[in-house]
Amino acid sequence: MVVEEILIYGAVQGAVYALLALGYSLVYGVGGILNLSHGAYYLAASYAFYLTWVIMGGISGYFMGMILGIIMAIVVATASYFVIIKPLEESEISILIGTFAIGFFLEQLVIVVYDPNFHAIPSIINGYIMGIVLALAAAIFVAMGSFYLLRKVKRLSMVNRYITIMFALVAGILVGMGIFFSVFEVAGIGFLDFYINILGIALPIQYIVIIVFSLIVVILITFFINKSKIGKSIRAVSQDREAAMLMGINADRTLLYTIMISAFLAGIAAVLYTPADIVAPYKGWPVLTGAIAVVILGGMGSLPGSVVGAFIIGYARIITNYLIDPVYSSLIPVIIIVVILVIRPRGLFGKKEIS
Amino acid sequence: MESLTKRILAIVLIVVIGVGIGVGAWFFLGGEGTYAWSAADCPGAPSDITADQIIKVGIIGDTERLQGEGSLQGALLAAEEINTAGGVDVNGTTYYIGIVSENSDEANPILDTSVAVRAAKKLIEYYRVDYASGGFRTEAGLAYQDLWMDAKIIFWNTGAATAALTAKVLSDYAKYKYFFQPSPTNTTALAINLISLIIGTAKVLNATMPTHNITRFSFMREDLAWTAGFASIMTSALENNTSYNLTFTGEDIAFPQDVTPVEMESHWTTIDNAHTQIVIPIISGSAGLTFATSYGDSKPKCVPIGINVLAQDADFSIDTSDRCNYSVTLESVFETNKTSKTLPFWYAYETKWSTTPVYTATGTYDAIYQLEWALENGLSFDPDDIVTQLETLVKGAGLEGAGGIGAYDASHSPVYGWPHGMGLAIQWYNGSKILVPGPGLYPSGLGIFPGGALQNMSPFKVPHWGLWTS
Repeated sequence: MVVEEILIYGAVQGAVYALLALGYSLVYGVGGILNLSHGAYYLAASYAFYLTWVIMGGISGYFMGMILGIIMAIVVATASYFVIIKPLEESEISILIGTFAIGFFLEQLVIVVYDPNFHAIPSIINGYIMGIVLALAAAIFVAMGSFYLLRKVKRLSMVNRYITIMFALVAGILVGMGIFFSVFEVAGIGFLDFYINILGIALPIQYIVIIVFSLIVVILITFFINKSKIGKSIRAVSQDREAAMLMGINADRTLLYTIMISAFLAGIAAVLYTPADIVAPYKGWPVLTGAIAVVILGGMGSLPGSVVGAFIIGYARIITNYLIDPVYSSLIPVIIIVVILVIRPRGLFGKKEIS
Repeated sequence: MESLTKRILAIVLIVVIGVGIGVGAWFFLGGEGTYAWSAADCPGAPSDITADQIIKVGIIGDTERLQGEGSLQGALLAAEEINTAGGVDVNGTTYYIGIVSENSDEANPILDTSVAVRAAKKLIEYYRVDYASGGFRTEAGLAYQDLWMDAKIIFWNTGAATAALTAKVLSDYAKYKYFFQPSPTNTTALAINLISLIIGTAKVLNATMPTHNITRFSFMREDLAWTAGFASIMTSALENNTSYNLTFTGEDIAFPQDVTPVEMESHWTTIDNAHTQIVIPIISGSAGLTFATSYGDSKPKCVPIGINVLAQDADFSIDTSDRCNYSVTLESVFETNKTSKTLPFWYAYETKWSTTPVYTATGTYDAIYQLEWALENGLSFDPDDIVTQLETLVKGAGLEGAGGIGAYDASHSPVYGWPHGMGLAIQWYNGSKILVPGPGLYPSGLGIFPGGALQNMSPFKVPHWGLWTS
């Protein structure tokens, strides 16, 4: 039973860390910036989500809060770019101090303007919502896969191309619906259940959604970085900033986009994780330190490294909880990082450019 | 060149800010003058009183958070009541209670004791307080305890439960005799109180659910020095109780302050796998919220009975979105007739502050009344005379307060046991606190409550998802 528990809880913890660390790694890869305001993006999203839910109430307030939370994270990130990162771009140490100041400022702002107390948001993710999420995820993947295959077929007429797209969408929706209903049949959970039984362990459905979203985000980000125009710009700037600029890429704008993407990811992490966690002014710091730990372990700027590092840290914490002592759950990952850095200073997957 | 200009500007800015902060700190910490006390510091007092008519009391605590806010509000309420009733009569002269406060930030999870020390220094050197009360964290209390003692300022500690603070009264009486702890009861008494509560609750549960055989208990606690010893004492006492034996499952989960929700979830799985029926939380910090929300989410077949300081907050149910339901904690005061002063205090506090009092509020409220009593009976402002007066409050001859009959032992710790320092069992149910049978309070025929029937007592609520059968 302990093995199953370690497997499941380690996966959940790793998924959370992956969401938090991906954006952080991305910004380092493009700008060579240790962005210490990353936790502030999470904090901004978390409080925007919470306050919207408190003010509006109900399901509508909840989902509006999630959307506003993500938007707020991006707004804070954009502000941090224009106020600190861009004006101080010539000095890494100034950016380090400036972004740290943003994190500290936002924490104090919350304490002074709102309150220093701890709050919580309930999870509303039950079987019904999980089914929808899984169905949507499946639909997106099937549709994306179809589009990708479509691009490989060169001699398709425009009409046939649209027909194929329609079929891809329908296939995606059908697969999604199939998954939606099989969730309840196969897993044996009710529409209104908040827990799902996996390997004999009752796991909050919220955590399943975190894992699924983490997976989706990792795949989408990889796809985005490799296939989109902005993604290609991001890769180009991370590989050689000057050469990219000579090729007409606006490196500053690319960095801004990257920071916004990073905030978007932190925002998603916040709105997904906050219902399982608490809302508190200091919450940005553990998020930041967690992200830094993962990125150092995985390799600065490496997206696969961030994902692998996230799961190593996640599993290290849970294994420590079960097999050593929960008291050391924060210490053991640090020891692992130190050992890895001694053996391989770049981290597990560390390279200069984004991979 | 532009970069150089920016650097110079930055340096100038830093110097200006640094000098400003330095001058401000020097000014506020007594470098320049002292605070001018006035009627504005004395709630309920006539507006024409002079500074020499004011009994200057300082409240130290995390006034931005639940615990410190309670300390300040309790003291202000007591001061207002006393001042409105005509003030304090000492040798025929009328004085009024004045209250100032300083934020020690000591409930901050990332504790910086230097902030607490600065707050104490400001109360002593700038406000020139005669007496002080408050406190919350042991570490902060230890950091500023000597400041009060060196200044011979009587300090009523109403926040920290550890015996480490009052132990100094025994080890160095001459220096620490000015330190009193009207509440909370110290950790040993708290453990006895909690043991009594758990055994009482187990008896009540067994009477109502005889097939369940409620005997199995586990711990979930913060990894702090005092919680380990506390759990050890409790395990021994619960397993060897003469009236009712409980069985320790072997699960004593100590988690760090930064425990993640996922980790807490895994701890609940462990607790549930051990078929725990009663889980004993020993939590004073922010993890109390994660603990409660995670309990409500994971619904293990057990009931939490223990210490969770945050659960005393009137808004705890809102903050946990009702996930704290069925949790039981000890509280020094509730809307009941614990003493004849409890209900009037409760209603006055609710009216004035639009919330219900936590234990720190009850503590400072009673401390201010003890000060009034000591001054009026001792007829002296001399701290040594007041100490002598307060030391007459002993078991069987205490001063009635809102939280119990105030009395001290040799270490100036509160005397434990009815009708002195004793916690009430409070359970969260349907978004509200209810008073349930607790330590020595057995209205269901299992025993007799020594003070007579308490008002507003309800039967213990069993989680609707059930408890394990052992």
